Amino acid sequence: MRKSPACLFLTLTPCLLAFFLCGCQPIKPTYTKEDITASVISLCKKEYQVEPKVWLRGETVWIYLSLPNLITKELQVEKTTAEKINKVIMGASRVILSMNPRPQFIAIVASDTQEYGIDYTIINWIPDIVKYQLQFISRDEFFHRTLIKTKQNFYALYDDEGEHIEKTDIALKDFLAEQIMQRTQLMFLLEPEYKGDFKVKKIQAGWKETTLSINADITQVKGSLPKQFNIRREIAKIAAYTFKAYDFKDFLAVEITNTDGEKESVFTRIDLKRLL
Amino acid sequence: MDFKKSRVYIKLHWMGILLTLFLLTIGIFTAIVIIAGINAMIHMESFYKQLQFSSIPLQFFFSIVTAIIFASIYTIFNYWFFFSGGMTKLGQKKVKSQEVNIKWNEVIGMDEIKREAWEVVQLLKDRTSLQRVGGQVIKGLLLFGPPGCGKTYLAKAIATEVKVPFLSVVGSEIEGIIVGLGAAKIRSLFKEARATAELQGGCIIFIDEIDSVARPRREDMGFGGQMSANAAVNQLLTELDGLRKRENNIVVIGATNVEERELDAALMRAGRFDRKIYIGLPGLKDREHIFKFYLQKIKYDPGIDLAVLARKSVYKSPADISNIVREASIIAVRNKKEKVGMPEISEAMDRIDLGLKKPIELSEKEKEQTAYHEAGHAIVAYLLHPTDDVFKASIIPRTVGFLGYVYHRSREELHIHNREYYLANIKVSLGSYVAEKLKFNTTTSGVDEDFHQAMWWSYNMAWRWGMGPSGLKGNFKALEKSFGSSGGWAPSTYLSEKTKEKLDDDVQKILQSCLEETENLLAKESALLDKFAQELIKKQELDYDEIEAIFKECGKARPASS
Repeated sequence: MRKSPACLFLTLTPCLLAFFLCGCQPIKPTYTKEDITASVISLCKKEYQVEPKVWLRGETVWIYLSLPNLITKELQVEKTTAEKINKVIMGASRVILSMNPRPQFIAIVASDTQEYGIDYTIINWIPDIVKYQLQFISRDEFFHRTLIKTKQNFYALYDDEGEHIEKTDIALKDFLAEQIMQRTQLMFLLEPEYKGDFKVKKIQAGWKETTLSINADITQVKGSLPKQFNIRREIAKIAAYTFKAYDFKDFLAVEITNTDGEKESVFTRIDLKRLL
Repeated sequence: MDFKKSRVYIKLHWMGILLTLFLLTIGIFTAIVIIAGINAMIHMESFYKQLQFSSIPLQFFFSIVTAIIFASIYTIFNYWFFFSGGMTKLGQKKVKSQEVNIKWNEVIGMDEIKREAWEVVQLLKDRTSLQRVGGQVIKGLLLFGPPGCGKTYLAKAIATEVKVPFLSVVGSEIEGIIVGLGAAKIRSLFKEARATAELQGGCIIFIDEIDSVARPRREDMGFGGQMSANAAVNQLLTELDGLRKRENNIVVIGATNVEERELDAALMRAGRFDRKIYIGLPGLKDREHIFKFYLQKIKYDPGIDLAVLARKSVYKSPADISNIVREASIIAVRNKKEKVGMPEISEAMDRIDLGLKKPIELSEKEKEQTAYHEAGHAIVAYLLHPTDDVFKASIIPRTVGFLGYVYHRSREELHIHNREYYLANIKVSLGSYVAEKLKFNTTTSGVDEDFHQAMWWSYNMAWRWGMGPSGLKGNFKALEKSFGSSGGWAPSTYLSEKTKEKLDDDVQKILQSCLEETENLLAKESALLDKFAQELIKKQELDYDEIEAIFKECGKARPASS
């Protein structure tokens, strides 16, 4: 029997609609927040043959990785251990991304437990990972948004259980303060435009209630910059950009002091907006 | 089923078996891929599953947009290719009737041709009166003749006068690289003409260089090229016949430089190209009119003698004359002249015919030799040539390879020549040799081309035209090669050695008698020779009036033309 076009249309349309509606129905999360620790451990063990220690503290997932040979004699992160860290990041990210609701932060601490006692910490805001996965932000920007800290900690020596790390619930405002510090350091030390021109002795950022206080010791050591170039203003620009990127409005001003000027500079939210 | 049966079955159905196995493999592979895909999708983590599902509508949307774009392109291309002429449209020029605005009175010269063409115009304009008496309307008009004589111009004037759209194509553009493209283009052209005629009451199709699509049909040698050409001719014939069957007021005007016999005979048959008009080179009066027409468009010296220009430009087409005037105006601008005068026109003619002046410096001796060489030509041409006028003598080297030249031409186009004409030509050629010998008691290699010409004339007189002194008559050139097959036992020539010898003697006798006569003349006119040569050395170039003045001063007159 020959089917008429109308009959074909009537048959095909519901099939197509059903197919598309499949995409509209909610998909059940693969993992739950309650068993996040077990899920991360089992996934990493099963798929990447790494067995980390995992804790959930409020909205932050802490992952500890004891690596006896994290740092080589040349004080570089060893290649195979770097791969292990990446695998753990990958496994943890997969678990966290496929759960609802998700925690806010993931902090991975890899410690050299045998020779030097060094903590290598990577902290990410989970929505940043989602944005990166969806390619809403570039690789470079994701790198700038990731907090990477290296600190010598003798308590790390022979600590396979991760007892020496302080497992706090990270707040977004503190994360942003540290990110501003890191961005400032990266800019003055690694940016090709300024590389070698500045010396960054110290940079600290902390919250005084609703004001972010940044205390820096950055001096120009060589090269000539435009007259209007002002270090505090550049730091303020970084702060303004960071707050805007995270749509963070829970502050009133940013206070910046630097050894190149006597007085501190205060930038209100309106001032920061103007800098962009 | 035993082994034998299986073998026979495989032998009979091996293709089907292979195809089934192939399809089965593809089917199994596809099923595995689909199952694996579904399985992976089911076991995918929720984030990636979400990612996949959420991108489906977007992918679907982009697929639809892409499909619509490609379907549109495909449809448009197909429509264009199959229904709108396709590649046959490429290179087809369309000139609308409004753009063709050449008034009948702007077609100058060619009065006889115009009269004939006017008749065609009248027939096209007043079809009803012709049909009333049962006559058939003209459907094809063939204009033929040498290039640059105004065939296209006349066709456009006809279109303007009849007030119908004018579709113009060039024959060489009709044929293309693809076999059958020529025929398709002709079909498309006539289709467009029919549509135009229906809308605007008539149409003229002008096919320039029609010989490109109207050469006689021949057997294809296996490469397909001739097949395509034959198809184009067939299509043209079909379309011309189609015009006659239907009342559509379409006229095809073809123009060609080749002779009628070089076109396909079927096209020339009555009922296709009904009228043939030969547009030849303009005559003396026509050239005068043409010069006047083109000179009127620029600022020119009213003292220019148009009659002299017309005489000087024998065998020149209207296009050549237009080119001369254009070149003269450029020379006048370069020379910072307000008006174009005779020297500019003369220089323009030289430039077109003989090339640019060659920047080489001749020594005094060389100049003198060249001057006497040219003076010899000029005096013999002036005093002995029955048909030619001497228009110019020059000792300025030209890029074509002359160190000097004498420009002599018949006062009027001549289409047939007598014995005296050829003898005069030989004498003029030998004039240079005799002049050099008389003056310097030696001769130069400059006579090379002159001897070549003199021998060519005398050879033809003796061998081809029965003008030799021995009395032998006939075109012996035709006998020089055997008729029919040249291979096998056929003799390579039908001429006897004795005849050949006689003819060769004749060639020398003609040359010797001409030489003697030239020697006598120049010896007698040695004063004139010196005068002419000295004037030439002094002025480098002598124009028509100056040449006339020299001869007049020496009391010499031109012989009456034969």
